[in-house]
Amino acid sequence: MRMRFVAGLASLVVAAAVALPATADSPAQRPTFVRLSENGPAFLAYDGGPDFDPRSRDWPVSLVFAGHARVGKIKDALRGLGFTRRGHSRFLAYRVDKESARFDGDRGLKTSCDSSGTDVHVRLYAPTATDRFIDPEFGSVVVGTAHLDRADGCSVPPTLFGFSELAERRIGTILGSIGWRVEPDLLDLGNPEPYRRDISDPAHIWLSNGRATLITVP
Amino acid sequence: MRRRYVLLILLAAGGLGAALLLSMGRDTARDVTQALDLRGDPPFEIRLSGPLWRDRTLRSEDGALDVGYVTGDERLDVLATGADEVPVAEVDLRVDGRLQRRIQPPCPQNACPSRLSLVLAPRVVGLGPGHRRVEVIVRDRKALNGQDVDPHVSVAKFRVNVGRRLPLVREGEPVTVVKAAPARMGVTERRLRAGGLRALTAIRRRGVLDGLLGSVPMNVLQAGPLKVNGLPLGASLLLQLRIARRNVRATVPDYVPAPHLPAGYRAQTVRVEATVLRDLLVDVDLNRRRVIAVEPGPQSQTKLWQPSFAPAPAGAGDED
Repeated sequence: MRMRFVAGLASLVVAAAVALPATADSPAQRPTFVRLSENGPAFLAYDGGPDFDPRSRDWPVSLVFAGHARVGKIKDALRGLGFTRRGHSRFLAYRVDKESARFDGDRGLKTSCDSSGTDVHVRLYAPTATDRFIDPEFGSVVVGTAHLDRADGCSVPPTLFGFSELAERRIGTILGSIGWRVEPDLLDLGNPEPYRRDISDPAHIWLSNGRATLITVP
Repeated sequence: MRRRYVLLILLAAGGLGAALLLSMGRDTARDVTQALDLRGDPPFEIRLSGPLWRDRTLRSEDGALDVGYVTGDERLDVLATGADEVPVAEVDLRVDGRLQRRIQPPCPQNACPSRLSLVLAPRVVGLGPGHRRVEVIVRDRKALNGQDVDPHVSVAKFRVNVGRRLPLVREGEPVTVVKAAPARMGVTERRLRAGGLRALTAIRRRGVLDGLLGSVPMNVLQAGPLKVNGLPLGASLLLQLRIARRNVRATVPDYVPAPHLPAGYRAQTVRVEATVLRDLLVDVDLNRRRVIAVEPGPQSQTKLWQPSFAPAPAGAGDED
């Protein structure tokens, strides 16, 4: 029961079952608000621009930090593990209680480039006012997206962004190394993005199994 | 000796001060903007509350924004209190610098109230989507008389993000923790994988990729659709070389997006040199049964990437 997820926001209603427009960056799934528990806060399953346009989604949420999570605390830990650079801002829509939707922005943290010119980029989201979501079943919660950047300001092209699934695994391994409990692919957020590429934006590589890794912050 | 001693004390004090600031800065900022909701310098304290204030744009400690999504005009509650009983003579509401409302409280016998509570409704939605600046300006009588106004005016301002109508975010099915193994490869994925590998085998037989791959076998890590503006075109493969190759070079096929062309892309070649080649992205146009791109993957080290006539496809500039 504790692990029950309820997807959706019943109160936001306008035009539902319209198929996604066929555009390069559109996710495979219509972006949906998800809740970690029935009475918990809701967040969109994708980050992107500060709007609800499916075409401006960037990456699927694939990390859920629970326990005693706070954005500041997680970032402090990541900085100590080599995530010392920052990237471009993206936003995640969220909604707490009955209040209107908001978008939390984050530039995220990136590792330095490895010998292949690839870095791991993680963005963390929670209401700025509280630095965390409060979920009745999961405690203090922060959610995140992760992806790899290749030749993004370092190394020789080709430039590639994405492979979220690979980045999610790397982050799980890294945070597991400091004793945080990591449960890979535990939570089905309903945002699978099978591997694919679009010629109109070939640098953006979708790859995610739609199952977020749950990381318990001590 | 004494000067060095004084310098050491000053440095220690400075360090302690900096540490205190760093440890307390965020909470201090929150106290002002979140808990007390006070705005404005003397002579007035301006306390803002209500739905529009709640939906204002916030800024986190690293400068990232947390923006609301206002789709209707909302109430703004204002409480202006004069320090040392300074009376409120006038309150302006401005949006994007334009005056929307001016309130002059009743001042019987020239005695204006030193505490004024207002309910305002800034018209922000009619101005269209985007970031709107809301200002509440409180003046005392001296400011109205055009004297040295600065000490007699307090301003509270904030921003709100006005959005278009709120779209539906659909209600999904309740889901549970995943316990089952991931789904197996579907029919479509198998077809794409087979078609992609056939085209790759054909181009390898012609020797086009010998300089890059030699005869090394590869594993298919991922196979999926290659699309043009969301429409199917072929297959995209993520391959891993079973044995990494070092210091390889070749001229390989590639493309640049070309929405005006029927195929959606323009073929080119790229001169590539890799210090270490571990993985590869291969795009196949299944209509033409042709490999149209061969690119080192995220675990490979490239030394040279020289397109024949156009920059390498890089997608949106600030995409990361």
